[in-house]
Amino acid sequence: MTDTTASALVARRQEVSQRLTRWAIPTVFAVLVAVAAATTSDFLTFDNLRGVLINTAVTGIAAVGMTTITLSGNLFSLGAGQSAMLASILFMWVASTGGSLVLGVLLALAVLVAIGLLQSLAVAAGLNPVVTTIAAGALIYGAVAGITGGAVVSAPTSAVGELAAFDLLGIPLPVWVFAAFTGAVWLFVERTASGRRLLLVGSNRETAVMSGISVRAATAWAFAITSIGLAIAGVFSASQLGQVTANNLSELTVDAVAAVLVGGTAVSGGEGSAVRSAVGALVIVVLQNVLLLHGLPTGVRILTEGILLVAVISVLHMARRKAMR
Amino acid sequence: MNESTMGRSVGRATRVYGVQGGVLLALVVILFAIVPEFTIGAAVFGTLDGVALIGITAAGLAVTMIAGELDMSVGSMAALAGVISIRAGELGLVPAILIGTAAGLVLGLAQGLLIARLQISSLVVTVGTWIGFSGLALVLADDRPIGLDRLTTTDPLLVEWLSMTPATLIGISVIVLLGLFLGFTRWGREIYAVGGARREARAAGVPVNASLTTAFGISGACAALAGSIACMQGASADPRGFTTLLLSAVSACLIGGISLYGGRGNAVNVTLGVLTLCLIIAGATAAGAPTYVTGLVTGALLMLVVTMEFVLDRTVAVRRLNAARSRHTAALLAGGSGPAGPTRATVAPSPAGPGKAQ
Repeated sequence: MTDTTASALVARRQEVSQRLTRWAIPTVFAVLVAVAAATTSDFLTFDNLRGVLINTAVTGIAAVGMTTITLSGNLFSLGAGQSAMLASILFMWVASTGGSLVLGVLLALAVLVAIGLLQSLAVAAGLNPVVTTIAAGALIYGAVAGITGGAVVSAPTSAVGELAAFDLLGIPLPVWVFAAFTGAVWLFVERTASGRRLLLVGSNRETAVMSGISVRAATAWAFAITSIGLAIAGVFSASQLGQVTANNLSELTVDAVAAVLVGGTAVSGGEGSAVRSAVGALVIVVLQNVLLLHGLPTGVRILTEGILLVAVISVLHMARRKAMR
Repeated sequence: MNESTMGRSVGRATRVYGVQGGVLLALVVILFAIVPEFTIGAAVFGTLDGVALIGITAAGLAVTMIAGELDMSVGSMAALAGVISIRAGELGLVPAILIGTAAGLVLGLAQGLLIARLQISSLVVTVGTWIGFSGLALVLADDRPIGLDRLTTTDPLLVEWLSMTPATLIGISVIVLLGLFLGFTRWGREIYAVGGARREARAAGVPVNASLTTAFGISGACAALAGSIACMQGASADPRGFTTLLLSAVSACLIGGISLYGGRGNAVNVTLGVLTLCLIIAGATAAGAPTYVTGLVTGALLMLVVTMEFVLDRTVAVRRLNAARSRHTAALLAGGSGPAGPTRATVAPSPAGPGKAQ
């Protein structure tokens, strides 16, 4: 009798916590938008919202991809910025030699997925993901800077800019791809066998191994999807800027990690979603946008982002711990 | 007897520092062989010059790594402290550096307290504070690089003595002091306990929260000290600076052999790692190579050392397991009354936790 009450109580607590982690970020987002709309007259204009979405796209795509690494229990890829930079350079290089844009995109995807799979092998063998991805990032940066000599790579005669500027119903292509990629990753994790296995490896590795799930395959999926996201992010960033150097996208790593964390994905793995990471990226950009419209300097905006991040992760963490007890 | 003890301690030293010492030695030989401009003078000066910034930061970071955590905010902490020191430059050199360091200590203690009280992953919290401190540095510097009004304030930092600057001396003393703290004080040993086996440490009555808070206070203060000294040496501070400091410091610690899983490593490891990294930088500078070469070599070396450690740990674990097995069989053949129980007990941990076998 008491047992059932106790378990019912635990189940109820878990339900409350799950509801909190699931709805916290959308709620923060809704409140933020409401406050923004009420206090700044320029916020709810089509042009501003369009700008917000364009600014979110690159970071958002990277964050959505990286969510799979976090879900699989491998923390983050700390070489994300360098990988995306490599994709930008490859894409731009193909364009500058007169190759088609499609070829550039395919080359960036192929190289990044190959590098991602190599890292996944090391991580699945037991090397620490933080160290592996830091080292991979340093190697990629060094190699790219060495080959390009730190020079600007651009393709003035080609149509690289059209990729990011291509308009569909008034919304540019990167935003559509951001939405589609988020949906695709969500579907993969929620609705495919490989995705469910990845989630189980993240939430309980021992159980996963005992039920015959390959940690190596799950890790490979996670790194491959992250690499696809980083390749797309790098290509769009190159297309938006029109020129790239080895120092580009250095902020992408921390921005993407921040978006994943604000989205409420648990660093311990197994809990979270690509959609929430996308909303996390949106929350950060909207917050920046509102503060910018209020005329606040960069420092205050970045400081606010940091405070938001620490507050969100602390609250979600406490909610999860309450549910565990 | 005496000889075998000595042999054993030499063997132990080789096992503990072998990989790192070998890498350092190989690096010195390679540098002298392939870089003709790399003279002993250049090596000593270049290496000692780098000890201050990377050495102090790595020493602090090592404390959090030994506690089984990681402070990702050291880069923006150094930038923030640099800005604070330059802002306080009117008060004189030493007060300015002390104020910057004190700010780092307080912020580090605060984030340590948060991590300890909430029992939350330090990786996550310090990504947040990484962004936060960077914002604070920009606010205090009005979004632009700032400089000292009176450049003569920093003169004492520029004197040189036996190719050592005051910054180098401070760096060496910080590493030595932290080594003594970790090895010989109760608080230091408790940090090892917290990193090696947190639950057992808590059960044994180690004040885990206090240890974690101390560790992050130390790493904050060290990063801030390094940032303050570097900015005062150059008489200017860039709030967006020190972006590669985290990579350098983490690489130095890992190349030196400090484990990310906690409980393993000491000041000798920090010294070996910092020397290796600074030698690479000194070699690249002497050869006139662009800065990215340093990154490339650091990345490759990091991967090499971590893989070697990983493989060695595995082989050591397997060898121990095999040795124990053969002893077990021998005991069984000899009559079965032998040390079956205790042998099992010594075997069990090695395959399960190769990282913490030593």
